[in-house]
Amino acid sequence: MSVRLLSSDSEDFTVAKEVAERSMLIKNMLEDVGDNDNPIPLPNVTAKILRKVIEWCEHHLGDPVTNDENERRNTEIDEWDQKFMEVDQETLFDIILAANYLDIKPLLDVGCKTVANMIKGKTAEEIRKIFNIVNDLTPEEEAQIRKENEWAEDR
Amino acid sequence: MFNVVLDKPQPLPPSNIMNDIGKSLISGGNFQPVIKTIIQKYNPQSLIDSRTQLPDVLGHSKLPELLWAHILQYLPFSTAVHCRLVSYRWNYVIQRSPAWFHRMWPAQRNRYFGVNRYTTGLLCTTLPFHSLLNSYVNGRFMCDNCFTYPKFTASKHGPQAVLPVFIGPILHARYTDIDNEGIPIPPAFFIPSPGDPYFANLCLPCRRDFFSYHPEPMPSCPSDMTITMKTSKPKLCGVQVPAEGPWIQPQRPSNPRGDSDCSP
Repeated sequence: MSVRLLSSDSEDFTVAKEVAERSMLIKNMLEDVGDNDNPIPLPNVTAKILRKVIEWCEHHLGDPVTNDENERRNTEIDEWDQKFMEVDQETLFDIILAANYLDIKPLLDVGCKTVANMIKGKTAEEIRKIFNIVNDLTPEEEAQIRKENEWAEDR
Repeated sequence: MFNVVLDKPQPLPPSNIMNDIGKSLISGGNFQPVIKTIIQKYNPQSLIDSRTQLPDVLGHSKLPELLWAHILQYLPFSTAVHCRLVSYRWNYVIQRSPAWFHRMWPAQRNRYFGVNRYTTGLLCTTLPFHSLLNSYVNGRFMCDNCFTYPKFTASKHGPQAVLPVFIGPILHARYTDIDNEGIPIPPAFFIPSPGDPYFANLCLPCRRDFFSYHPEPMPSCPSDMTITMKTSKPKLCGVQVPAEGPWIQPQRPSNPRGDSDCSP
């Protein structure tokens, strides 16, 4: 049994139903609509990103669904996922957005962990450089945050 | 999951542009330039940062705030507080993240005390109510561990004062302890119910003691916590929690460390 997915740029993808059902959004849609030959439109996902998402879903097809919060919060990423996430920043953000839209929690977690690992151990200035962020804090605001951080680090 | 992008109603183009389209349609003229203007104006790639008025080249603004909050939850607290210095938006996200709020609140309590709590909606859910009701005297809180009133106040002495510490995960772990007959042992000092804020007010030495036994946990939202019975050994975010940790023994007669910071 296969399902047709239509990306925002009108590219048609045919995937196995089990693969497509890694997405809770698609799974719920299929349950509501029933067996249908019409493609499912995904207006928020481009073909380039949808291809990546399908690749991830196919690789993780047999993975058990974990509800263990501690396991989910573990920041370690397996080797295949690390390689999979070796993309430019824009694509990485697009994958995270697509995972959020398609409601694929494990993929969202992997994307978020990847970005979190990019942040870990970096200074504020380095983080700004990585994400091309402009420091828009006023000196007073910065001083206030530094003061509050002293409190937060009091232990 | 965060469907912020979907839930958020998209703003309509300004009325002058709509009028231009209307005029073009009525006159039967070429309205391609008008559409091009709209695309240029509303192309997500050309997002402008509202504070800096600079274009967002790498899509920093592309991710909604809740997704940034989700990303930042994977950072240890010590890293997250430094991230507040990155930008106004990051500071905003980290400050308001439920995962961090229990740790941010002590630092900001003075800032929010003067604000109407019903309009901020912040204090209502996270105040250590049991301690506020029982042990607030002359601007000082009683330490829930050594039962002393330190001479320090939060407003004057900052971190040296008694401050609330989020103990939800520890309490949760303790509540799942079972005795030899498999009967759950509830925490002795108070019986929590789901929805309690699970805070304890601790003086500086007790806080240090607490954090030495319970290393900095990964953030966890209080609302995620439910009381369940587990037969396995309790674990706190990958760190083994001692079943009978030396922290918070209800019948402890006095502070065993004899710290001078606490005056009875």
